[in-house]
Amino acid sequence: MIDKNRRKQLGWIVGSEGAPPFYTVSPAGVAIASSGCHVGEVLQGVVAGERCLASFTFDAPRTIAMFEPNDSGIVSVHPGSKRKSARAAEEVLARFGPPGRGGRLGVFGSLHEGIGLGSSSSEIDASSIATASAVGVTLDAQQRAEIMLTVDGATDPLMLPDHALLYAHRRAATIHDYGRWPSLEVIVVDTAAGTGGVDTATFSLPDYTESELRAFGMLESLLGHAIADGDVELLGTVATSSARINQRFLPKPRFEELVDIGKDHSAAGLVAAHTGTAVGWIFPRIHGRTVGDVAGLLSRLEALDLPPIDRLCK
Amino acid sequence: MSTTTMTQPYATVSEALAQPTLHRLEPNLIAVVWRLMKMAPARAILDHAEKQGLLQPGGHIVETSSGNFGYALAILARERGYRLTVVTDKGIKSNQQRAEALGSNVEVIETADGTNIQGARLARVRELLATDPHCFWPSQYANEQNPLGYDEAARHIVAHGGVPDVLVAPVGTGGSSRGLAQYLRLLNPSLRVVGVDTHGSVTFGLPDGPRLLTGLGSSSPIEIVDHTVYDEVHWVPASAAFRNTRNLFATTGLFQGPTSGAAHLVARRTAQAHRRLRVVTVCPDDAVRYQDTVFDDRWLADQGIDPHEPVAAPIEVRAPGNVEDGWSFINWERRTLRDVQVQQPRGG
Repeated sequence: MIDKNRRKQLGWIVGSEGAPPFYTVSPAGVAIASSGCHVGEVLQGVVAGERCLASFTFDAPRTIAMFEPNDSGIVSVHPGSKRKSARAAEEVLARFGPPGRGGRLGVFGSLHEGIGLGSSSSEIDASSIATASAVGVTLDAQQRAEIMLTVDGATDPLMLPDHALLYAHRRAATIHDYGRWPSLEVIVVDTAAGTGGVDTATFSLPDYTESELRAFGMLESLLGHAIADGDVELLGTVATSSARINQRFLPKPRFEELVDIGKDHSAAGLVAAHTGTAVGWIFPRIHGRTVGDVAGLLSRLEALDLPPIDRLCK
Repeated sequence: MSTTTMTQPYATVSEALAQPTLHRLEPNLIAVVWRLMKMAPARAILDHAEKQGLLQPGGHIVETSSGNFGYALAILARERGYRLTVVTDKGIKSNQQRAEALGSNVEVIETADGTNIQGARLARVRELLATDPHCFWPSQYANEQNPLGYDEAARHIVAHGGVPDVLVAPVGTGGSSRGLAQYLRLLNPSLRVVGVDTHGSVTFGLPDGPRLLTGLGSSSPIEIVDHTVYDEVHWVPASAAFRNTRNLFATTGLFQGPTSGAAHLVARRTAQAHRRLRVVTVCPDDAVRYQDTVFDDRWLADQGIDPHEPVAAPIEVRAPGNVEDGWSFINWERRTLRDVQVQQPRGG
């Protein structure tokens, strides 16, 4: 943690509630920004005729982006594979930069790619914020979503990590804000550890049966109850059930076994990446402490050669 | 947000009747109580027909019914401006009077010897359908919308009572048990589903015979019954059902019909034997239409039933063929009817 005096020297600008921190270092004008991640979706399906989702988002800094502006008129990116991040930077410069502005973008992501933690969104988001900051602009949540939508074709609600939202990810719009998530911890594993994840671009949209559509209506309503009551057990049940429906489309290996392992160690439920391979066990947190047999779960995971890749708290 | 919550003041009577109330009868037993459970599938069936264009404004609905489903349709027809013809038997006169008061046309079918009334009613429905091609037949015994319509009830049970471990339900069309099971098993795949049938019903493999306990069971196989839903099946004789229905009222004030009493009999035994399990029991209709029968001592005496005689414990059987006169049950184990009849294990 950087102390207050050093912060002043560096010109820290701390973002408003819900926005990740970023700072610029003058006079070179390099901007640095971070973005968080999500762990799968508590609910993903079709509600009231629209494809939507509700996910646990965390503002823990999981991606760092640095942007050094110049007058080259082009954006170069390191690593060279981060094409979407470069597109995001170009998009920001097109909207806000003076003509002829370009720059060097560096993207440092710690999130496993292609497994459903939102690495793509996180990198685009961090790149957008850094680039905008470098040209003197602070992006609001809506602008960040629009850039993500332009570059990636879909968004996730990284911008409001503490709020439980029913989000229409294909048009970057919040359908409903249920209020704040209850306090909880998620222990994340990659069920396909080491096999490279899935290419989400080739995944076709699920065609739900009427029974499944009605079930989503039921789950959405129960999600609202769970959040209103701060009921992490019910929240866990909703997450597991949504994942169970989606097993028909992108099955996680040993899904029911993973659910049962969670039950054995008092987890509230299993949240799954509906278009990825990551899953996370949900535990309630009370007065800053995680409740449940976390140690037991971690031992079990070690024995199964399924090491946790992250632990995230709200 | 919820698209499915119905709140007061209600805009229609039908939406109120479609919702159950939950009553804790034991520390681990909740009764899911409807005045008219059939309203849930009736609404689902008509909503779907309207969406599919099978039922147009001012349209004509025709249905055969043992009472409650026709009554539910009569209310909906009045609310939505449809004509309704109900083809029924002479069983429940009060239902006929109420349907007619709502503007429905009631046709009463009789057969020479009193059996196969269901077949005769179906024949008459087909006759009516043939004369009017725009007529809609809800067909509750075959319509997949019947079980689908229990999503709101499942939500209500879980939101207010938690996720159950055991569901006990009387099996008439099989809609409520299949429907609730499908939604509740999404939340708890281990949910144990206990179906309640009666002697004289062929649904779970007993021979056809006269049934005093109407509203559950059937003389012929029902299309939408999915036998693989059930972990356990009970056959409760009418006498035990009637006694427990009266007992349920006397001990709790819950004034429900005999199918509720039959299910409660089974559910209470399950709850008392397994205190760590959350049990819910389906109570489909109130006792208004049974005051002259089940709740009348003289009528019961005429059937040879003493309301105060205690109900004996059930006997477990290995096959439907071994069921005798008293309360019996079988571990159905989510098997098909055929597998159970030849005593094959699941998938065998």
